[in-house]
Amino acid sequence: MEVAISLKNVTKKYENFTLDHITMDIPRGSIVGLVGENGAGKTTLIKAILQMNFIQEGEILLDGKRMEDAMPQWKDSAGVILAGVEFASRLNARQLGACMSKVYGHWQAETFEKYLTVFQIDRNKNIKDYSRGMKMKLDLAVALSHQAKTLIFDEATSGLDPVVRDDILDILLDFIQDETHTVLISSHIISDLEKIADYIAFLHEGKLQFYMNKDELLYQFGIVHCTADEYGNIPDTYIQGVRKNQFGCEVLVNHLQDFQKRYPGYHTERTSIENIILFYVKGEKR
Amino acid sequence: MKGLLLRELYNLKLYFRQYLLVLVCFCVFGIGMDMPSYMMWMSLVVGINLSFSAFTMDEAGGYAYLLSCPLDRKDLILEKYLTVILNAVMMLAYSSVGEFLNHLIKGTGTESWLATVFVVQGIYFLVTSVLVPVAYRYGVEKTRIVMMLIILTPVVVILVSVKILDMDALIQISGASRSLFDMLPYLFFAASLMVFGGSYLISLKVFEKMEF
Repeated sequence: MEVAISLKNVTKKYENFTLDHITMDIPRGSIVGLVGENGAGKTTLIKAILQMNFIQEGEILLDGKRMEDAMPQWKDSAGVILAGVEFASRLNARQLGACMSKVYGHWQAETFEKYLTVFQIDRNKNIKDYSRGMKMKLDLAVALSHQAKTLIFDEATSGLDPVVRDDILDILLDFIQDETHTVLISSHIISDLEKIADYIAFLHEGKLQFYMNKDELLYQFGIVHCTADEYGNIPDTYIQGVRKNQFGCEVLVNHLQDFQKRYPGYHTERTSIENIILFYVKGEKR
Repeated sequence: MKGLLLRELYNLKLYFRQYLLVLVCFCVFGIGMDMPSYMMWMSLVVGINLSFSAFTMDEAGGYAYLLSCPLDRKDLILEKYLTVILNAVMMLAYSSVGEFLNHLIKGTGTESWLATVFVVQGIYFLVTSVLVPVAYRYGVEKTRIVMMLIILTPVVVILVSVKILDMDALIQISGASRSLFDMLPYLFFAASLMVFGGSYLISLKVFEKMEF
């Protein structure tokens, strides 16, 4: 498995927050979804990869090269979309394209024009007058018009309507058809990631709670509905979190298949990524 | 970096008519008052304003966008200083045209023009030398306050000097020191360029440590 981005013990300390020893390999040809609540460290991690902040410990490898050696050339092969930032709001799409053709070494004006047409972007309107969805599409057009091999999105789809989000997800799925392409996308909208991601990385309070293949994740975890007494009989090794209510307990268990074999009398069901994360964050620990 | 310079030019183009109108007005006033240097001093204000607005644009858009592009931090700083120089060239072009028109219409001599150009350009480079690193370090809002202080300080100093010092004695410069006095604008300009170079290095140091 070829690795596009490799993080080894990446640590970034702020006064009130620490991104704590993050280790993960992002395989080439895959979509990795980065999830976590606000302030979990998603943006800090993405900015560390882009060298917008400086890590205190650890190492980042981009296409096998140390980040310090790979930058800034590596960014020529990366399309980055960050929420709330723009190149120049008073320019129009045509002018933006002209500027970007000087910024990116492999700029393809025809591709950019094609995306402007596909996305129905007004070429002569000031970017500041675009809707949020339009700005996002324009950023996407830029990201896809310089032969990028890696796309990095940070909360880029937040605040967009479901139709625009769905369009964007389709484009990402299309992008990833090329096996040399990679996508790292952070989002609050877990259902979006559930649709497209191959891997899910979950950050909580600066720590990587899990980083797993999505199918494996959904296969491995499950919910057990049981009484308080039955809950008492479940070994700690299975339990990831529990929610107690007046009707009994909902327990998030790991190794679901194994659990079902050992405890066939328990009522179990498959769960969603959103539920797994909610149990991690809000569920009680034994 | 070419892309960033192109962006500055597009932005300049947006306000070109407004700036042109203002400069034409200054030109008319300057010729009307028979004060060609008035145009130069006013071009200084416009030049500083232009350079300052380049920062406003960067800060509003977010440096994060620029750093997500294949641009070195050095490139971003260098581009900003090149923009300042570009504005200086435009100031020079404007004051040259103004002086030429003044000479054409009023037939006045152009002896002191070059010295005034060097003084004005020197002041421009000194002011931007302070403003650029301050803008990087503390942001545009705080830099506005610094800009006001920079503008007010010389005014206060001159007013106080006039009150305290015997200006007549200062103005009567002997023949020996006259040539040195004549050299002052050029020496001042050379010194301002050196400060400008130092400012670039400071900005580079500040920006290379910044996190976004």
